[in-house]
Amino acid sequence: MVDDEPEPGPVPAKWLGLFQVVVVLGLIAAVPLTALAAVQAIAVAANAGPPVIEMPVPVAAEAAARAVPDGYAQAAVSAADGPTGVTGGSVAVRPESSAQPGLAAVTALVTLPGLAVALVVLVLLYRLVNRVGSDRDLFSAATVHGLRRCGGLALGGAIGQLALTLVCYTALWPLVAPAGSHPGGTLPDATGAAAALVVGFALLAVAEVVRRGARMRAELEGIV
Amino acid sequence: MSPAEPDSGHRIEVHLDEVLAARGMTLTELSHRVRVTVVNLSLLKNGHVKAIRFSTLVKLCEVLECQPGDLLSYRGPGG
Repeated sequence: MVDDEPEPGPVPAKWLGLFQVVVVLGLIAAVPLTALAAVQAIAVAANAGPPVIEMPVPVAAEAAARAVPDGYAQAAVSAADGPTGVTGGSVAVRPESSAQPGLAAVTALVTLPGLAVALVVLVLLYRLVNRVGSDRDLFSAATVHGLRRCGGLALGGAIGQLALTLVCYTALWPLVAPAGSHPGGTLPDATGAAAALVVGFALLAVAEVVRRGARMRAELEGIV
Repeated sequence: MSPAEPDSGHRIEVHLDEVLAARGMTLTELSHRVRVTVVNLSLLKNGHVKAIRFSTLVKLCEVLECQPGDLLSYRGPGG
């Protein structure tokens, strides 16, 4: 900068250091969380299996009477007691199915890409913050490029996550799950994707701020 | 004389070298008196700056005992 006024100081080290700490903490938390979530997603899907179905079955009146707690037995049994001495009841059944590996695959398909993208964004952000800290140059084209890349990746990941979830809900789930089951209890909701959208737009906004700052600094260069 | 913006249609020319020569002053001495580095004064003299602050112009005028018009002139596209 051609200027005899006091040079604008380097990138404020205090907030940059704090931001570095936050990103590092995010990375430290994200790596095991990603692995844990991946394992959990697969394990939960593998263990969940098809849904429990309530099936009406005939039960002998005596057995039904024994099953009703004290204080409620007489009313429940007498109300349902029929002329044949057989009353109604229900049993929870879980039909055997070979769909569990498919459910696990669908859940992993929905969960893991989003986590992987989040991890990549954090790593890129960490490298960007480190470079800005070492170069002492925040308002540069490289910073803008890096922030735009992170923001674009977060947005793309969020949109991809939403699309994957939609596809899995509508197309893949019926192929691997028994009829009547609903994926809502197993597949993740769209909270993560929504958060990624917000982060992506925020990163793009910061990139625009840095771009304008860099342009203003370029205009100031050459002033005596 | 140095064009300040060679790429634009109009040009601001800096006559610092002529004013210095008329007063028998060196760029280094001027630098000390106006508290602007020799490098920047050299850039200004050769027209390699984009702008000049009023505060710098005032100091130059005070030290060189001249008017801004003695240091700068405008030359249009046809000039």
